[in-house]
Order: sequence, then C-alpha cells, then structure tokens
Amino acid sequence: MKRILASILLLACAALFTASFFAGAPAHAEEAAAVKIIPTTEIKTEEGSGAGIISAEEVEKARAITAERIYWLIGLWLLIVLAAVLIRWQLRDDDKLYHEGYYSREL
Amino acid sequence: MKIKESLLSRRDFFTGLIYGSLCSIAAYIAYPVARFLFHEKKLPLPKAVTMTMADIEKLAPNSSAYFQYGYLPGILVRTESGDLKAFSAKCTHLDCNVNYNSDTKTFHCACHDGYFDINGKNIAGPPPTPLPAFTVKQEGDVMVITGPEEGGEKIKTA
Amino acid sequence: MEEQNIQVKKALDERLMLGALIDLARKKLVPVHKHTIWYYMGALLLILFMIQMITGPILLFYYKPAAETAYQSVAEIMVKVPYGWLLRSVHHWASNLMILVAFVHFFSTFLVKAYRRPREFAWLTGMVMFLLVLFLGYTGYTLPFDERAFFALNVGTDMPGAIPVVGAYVLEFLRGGAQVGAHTLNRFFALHVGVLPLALLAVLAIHIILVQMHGMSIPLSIEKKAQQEKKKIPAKPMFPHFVWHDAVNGLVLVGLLFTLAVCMPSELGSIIDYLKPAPVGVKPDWFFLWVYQILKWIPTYVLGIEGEIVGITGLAMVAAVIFCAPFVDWKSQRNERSPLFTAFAVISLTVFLVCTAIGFFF
Repeated sequence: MKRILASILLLACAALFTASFFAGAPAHAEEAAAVKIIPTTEIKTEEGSGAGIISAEEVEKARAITAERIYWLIGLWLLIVLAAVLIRWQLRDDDKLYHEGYYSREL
Repeated sequence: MKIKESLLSRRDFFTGLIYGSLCSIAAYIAYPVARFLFHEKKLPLPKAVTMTMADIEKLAPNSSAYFQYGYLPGILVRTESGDLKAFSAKCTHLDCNVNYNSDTKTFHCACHDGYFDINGKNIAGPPPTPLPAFTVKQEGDVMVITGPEEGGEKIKTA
Repeated sequence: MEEQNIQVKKALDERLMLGALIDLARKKLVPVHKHTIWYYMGALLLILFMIQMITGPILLFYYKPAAETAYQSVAEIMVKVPYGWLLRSVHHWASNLMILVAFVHFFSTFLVKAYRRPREFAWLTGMVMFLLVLFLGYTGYTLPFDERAFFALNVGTDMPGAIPVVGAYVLEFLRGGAQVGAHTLNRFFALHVGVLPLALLAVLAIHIILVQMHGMSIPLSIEKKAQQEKKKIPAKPMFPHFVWHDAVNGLVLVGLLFTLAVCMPSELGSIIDYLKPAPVGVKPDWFFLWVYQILKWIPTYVLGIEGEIVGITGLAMVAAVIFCAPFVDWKSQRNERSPLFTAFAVISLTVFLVCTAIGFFF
C-alpha cells in the first residue's frame, strides 16, 4: 500500500515537472532586454591617477630585511627554543620511565 | 604521581606547558597569515565622469541608460519633464542592478522585488535605504556626473 | 579535575577512536641504532608537505593564473598584500627544503637498502613521489611567468621532446601546443595546483600505510651484528618518544624555514620579453643542475645520434635501474651484502653532489 502511494506521488511530481516546460512559466530567469549604455570618460583623483603597475624597485624594497622582521624572527626562535627545551625535558623523563619498564609493560 | 593537595601531577603540568608553548608558536605564526587573508583592497572611484552632449541628447524622455562610474554601475534617467537624474544602479538591499520601468516610473530590482521612486527613495520591498544620488551638471559641451551628494548616502568603498 | 580530564578523554575516545590510534603508536617500535637519524626524514617531509598544503592555497587567494595577470599578481603579493612576501618566501623555501630532504631520504634509503623484501612497494611509491615532488618544484617556479620562468618553460618542455618515440607527444602535452605561451602557463598551473598535489596525496597515503604496516627497516650491517652478538636491537615506542623527537625536529625545521624566508625572500625576475635573448648564465633551479651539467658535458653528436637524446635516454636508464632496484638487486633480497649496489649508490650520490656543485659555482 505504501509503495503504491509512493509511486503515485513520484509520478505526480514527474508530471508536474514536465508540464512546467509547456505551461509557459519559465523554469529559468528570462534574459533582460539589451541595455542602453552611455560611454563615459573618467576624471581620476590624484591617488587614482597613479598606474597600478608595480615596479621592480618596489618589489626589491618589499624584499629588504628590516629590523622589525629580525625582531619577529628572534621572537619566533625564542618560542621554538622554549618549546624544544621543554620537550627534551619531557623526553628525558620518558626515557627514564622506559628504562624502568613503564612503557614496555604495555607492549 | 599527584599529591592530594595539588591540581595536577608534575608530569601533567609539564605536558600542559608543552602544549601551551606549541599553541603560542601557532598563534605567533597565525598572525601574519591572518593579516594576509584579511587584506583590504581599496578600489579607486573617479572624482567625476563626463558624457558627451550628443550621447545625452539621444536619451528620450521617460527612459534610462546605464553608465560606468569607476567600478560602480550608474543609471541615468530622463524624466517625462526632461530633467536628468542619475543614481547608483546598485540596489541597496543586496547589490543587484536595478531596472527603470517607464510605465510605473519606478526603479525595480528583480532579485527580491524592491522598488524605488523617480527620486531614488525606497518605496516597496526589502531595500532599507534610498538609491545614492549622483549630481548631473552641464559644463560647456559635456555633462559632468559626480559621486553622491555631501550628506546624502555615501557609496560604500570596497 | 582529574576525573573531568578522564571524562573528556573517554568522550573523545568514544567518538573519535583516538585511543585506538594512540595504542597503535604505542605498539609501534622504532629501532634505536647509529642509523636511526635517517628515520626522521620521512616525518620532516610530511611536515614540509603540510606547510606547502597550507601556504599554497593561501597564495592562491591572490595569484591570478593567466599570462597577462600572473606577473603583476605575484608583484602585488610581494608589495601590497600584508606579509605576502613572507608567505611567498615560506612557500618557496619550503619547496626547496622539501626537495633537499627528499634527496636525503632517497639516498639514505638507497644506501641502507631499505627496498629489500617486503618493502618493495614502499620503495616504488617513494620513487613515484620523488618524481612528483621534483615536478611540483619545477611547475611552481614557472608560475610567476617572469623571464626565468619563461626560459625554464622552454628548456624544460624541450628536453622531454628528445625522448625517442613519445617525445613529441610529451612536449605537446606539457606545452599545450607547439610553442610556449599563455596556454602553457594554464597547464602548468593546473598541474601544480590540482593534478600533482592530489596525485602526491594519494601515493603518500599508500606509502604511509605500507611503512606503518612493515615497520622501520633495519640496515643489514646492524641486523647481522646483532645476530652475531646474540643481542636484541633496542627499540623505543613511537608514542611518546619518537612523536616528541619528530616535534622537536619539526620545530627546528620551522625555525630554519622562517629564517630563510625572512633573510632571503623570494625574488621576482623581470617581465617576459618574448624577443629578448636568454640572459648570460641562465641556469635551471638547483635540483636540476646535475642534469644540466651532465647534458652540458655530452658532445653534440655521439655515434651519429643527437647528444641530447643520448643524455636523456642514458639518465632514464639509470633512473629505471634505481626504480627497479628491489627487483634487480637480488643479493639484498636474500638479505646478503650487495657491494655492487652500494657502490652504485655511492657513485650516484657523488655524481649528484659534484655535478650540482659544478653547475652552481661555474
């Protein structure tokens, strides 16, 4: 009984879908009529008037090492050394446990 | 081994320190990455645009034409009485381009059925604010169109 | 506090099966001997690959992959986008380090004969990945479409053209036509961003599963010594010992990477001029210098055949032997010493180092 109802519902949906193509109601948005466009000339502002092209000198300037970058790098290394030292301490503790047989018991 | 009075064992404290330092390294590196991803790029808008009188004369009363104002689309309308009005063509709801309907003399946005009257005021549908108006002035033999009036709606810069 | 801790662990374990993963890692034993240091190379490669998979798509937010816009978009990344220079340089240096560590990983496994039974497929997948990584490096530095990239495109796609029979098809496939142009950049972009990373991911998955299944290979000399002395080879569990070791190595690697990126940021050559001659001293990137140098030494014609063809075919044959090493080196398969292949490995390493050095300095 459920299967018959389900198939009727499915057929009804299929019929509706097919009918929509013939009913005239568009299934997709209609294209707008061709628009009328008036050409313009821009009067640029001072900042806007500079060309967007980036020169090789600007690229070289961006590549130059500054003090700020070195400070950032030193900060990164300090954090890395801190983490590395902490991890090695933990490793020493783990090695001690390993030699006491703590880990090999589970294997 | 954890003594009763303390929250954590010494080992757990240490593991916490390690994870904390690793997270701080991640955050330290994530800052430049975040700045990189949130790069505000300001697209320039021109001071004004000009149109030739010949092109303007071709515009019949109660009709519209589009024009480019930098990266913004603009819509120029000649009313029935012959006045020229210019507005930003971007609907103030969700940025679709509006259309001038010469029968109802309103601007219509097809995306969510928004309506603006001939002066750009939002009259029906979801748009929350009026269309930003441009000033249209004839200077010699060109028509000069400038960005929104002072005190009017400011066009959002990108 | 501790009960809450255990409750959180139990909740996560129930849903994510993390407990099972950690158990696996605890059971995995890594042998500790004088060659253990080479075991770290795989994890380093994985970390570098993950860095590339993060910085690559991030750069993709601003890179415009068309011939007219590529150069300016890279210049914009360097100059206008905040920390663009840093992320581009990290991506560039990570690729160099990845290729360097790949060479170290390749030569170390080749020398200790880790390709012996039952690890043949781990070797084959590794060799495929090696080629993919080299190709990724090559396609990457053509993307800014500057002068250097243009010559790299020309020469790099011309060389496979010298392969007999299939050469012309390979050349046309790589170039997207007969000549290098805008369509070539599109192809190299598709290769670098889509095809090669996905292929690498797929092969990497197989490689990692195989390596975990078989465990770490122990060099023959150490195995034999342990057998003679009737001693067991000491081994430590992967979790937590080697996970911590890998973490420290990874941290130092990240530090080194950012140091290189800050102190020697990536360059951007000049804009392509299709009519300009190749600049004096133009050379391929460092990982192809050995090929460049060897081909330079081969005379124009060898026994009537074009030198280029002889060179590339010769190198291809050597590469084929290395690819099939597990199946050719039958002494290693029987777990016997194989001095011929050891010599072969030492000679290839020496040739690689010497040719790269000569190509770099002269």
